[in-house]
Amino acid sequence: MISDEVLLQQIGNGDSKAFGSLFERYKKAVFGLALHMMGAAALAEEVAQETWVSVVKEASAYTGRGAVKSWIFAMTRNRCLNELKKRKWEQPMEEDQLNNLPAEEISDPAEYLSELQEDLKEAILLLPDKQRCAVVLSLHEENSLSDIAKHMDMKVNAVKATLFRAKQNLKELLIQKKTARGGIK
Amino acid sequence: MSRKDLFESDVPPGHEDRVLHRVGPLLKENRLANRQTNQETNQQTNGLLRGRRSFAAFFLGAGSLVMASFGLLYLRNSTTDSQKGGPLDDLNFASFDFFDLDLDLDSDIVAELDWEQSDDSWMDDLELIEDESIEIV
Repeated sequence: MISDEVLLQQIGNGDSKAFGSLFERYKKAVFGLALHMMGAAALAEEVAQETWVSVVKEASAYTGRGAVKSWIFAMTRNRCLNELKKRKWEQPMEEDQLNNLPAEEISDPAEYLSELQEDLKEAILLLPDKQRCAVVLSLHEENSLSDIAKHMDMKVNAVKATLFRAKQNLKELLIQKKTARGGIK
Repeated sequence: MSRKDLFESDVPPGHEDRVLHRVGPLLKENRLANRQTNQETNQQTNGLLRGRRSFAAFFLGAGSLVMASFGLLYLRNSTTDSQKGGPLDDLNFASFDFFDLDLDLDSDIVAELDWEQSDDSWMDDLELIEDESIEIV
């Protein structure tokens, strides 16, 4: 398999096939990260498109410091944060979103864990912008509190408080989802 | 499943086409830029090679000239050396003692000089010149 670095170098030379290969490798990850940071598919797609445009534009300027994957994720993350800051962290959590969670049957433990992950992903999408971004930055790249504060232009204590509220909301959302399935009585 | 994979999501329909539509012209730009860079690099390489060839030619030419000069000098020196050993080279002027010449003033040659018959008329002319009465024209 051709390495990401070689593919990026070929993209810098204008190789369409190389771009196709790199895009296939990371399209789900880039879109997924954008989706969980932006909270909406339409916005996420816009960010993902811009990220891939940047990949092609900046391919020649890639210095080789750090993995290509991390480089692409950093571009996605920064673009999302810029968009969210422009919107001034709008989109508060809506009550009807909490009440309209889809109910599903639990079959076995493995599937339950898998579903729990899916539930978590869905629950993250329902968080307000700031909480959602803080959670994604914390989970996705395992950023420290100070890194999250730096990325989000916030103070460390404010990030702590945001993450605390996010966890409370996630807990509540997951309980609601389980209750809707009949898992908790 | 890593934490990063946790966030992977299926892309919406048509996402690939939309992305490819946007990056297509940019890839073309990259191709053109790359071609131009390659051409410039080739030109520079060719120029450098030409420069190196010129330098090599100059170096060889200069080297040949120097070698030829040394050759000529060597030939000249060897020719001069071959001319050594002539009659003059055998003379040792430093050790030549002029005072060691045995000049015999009483020899027949000296005796044969007729001092009396020597022409002293020029001395008369000199006396006439000293006489201011004679006007020199």
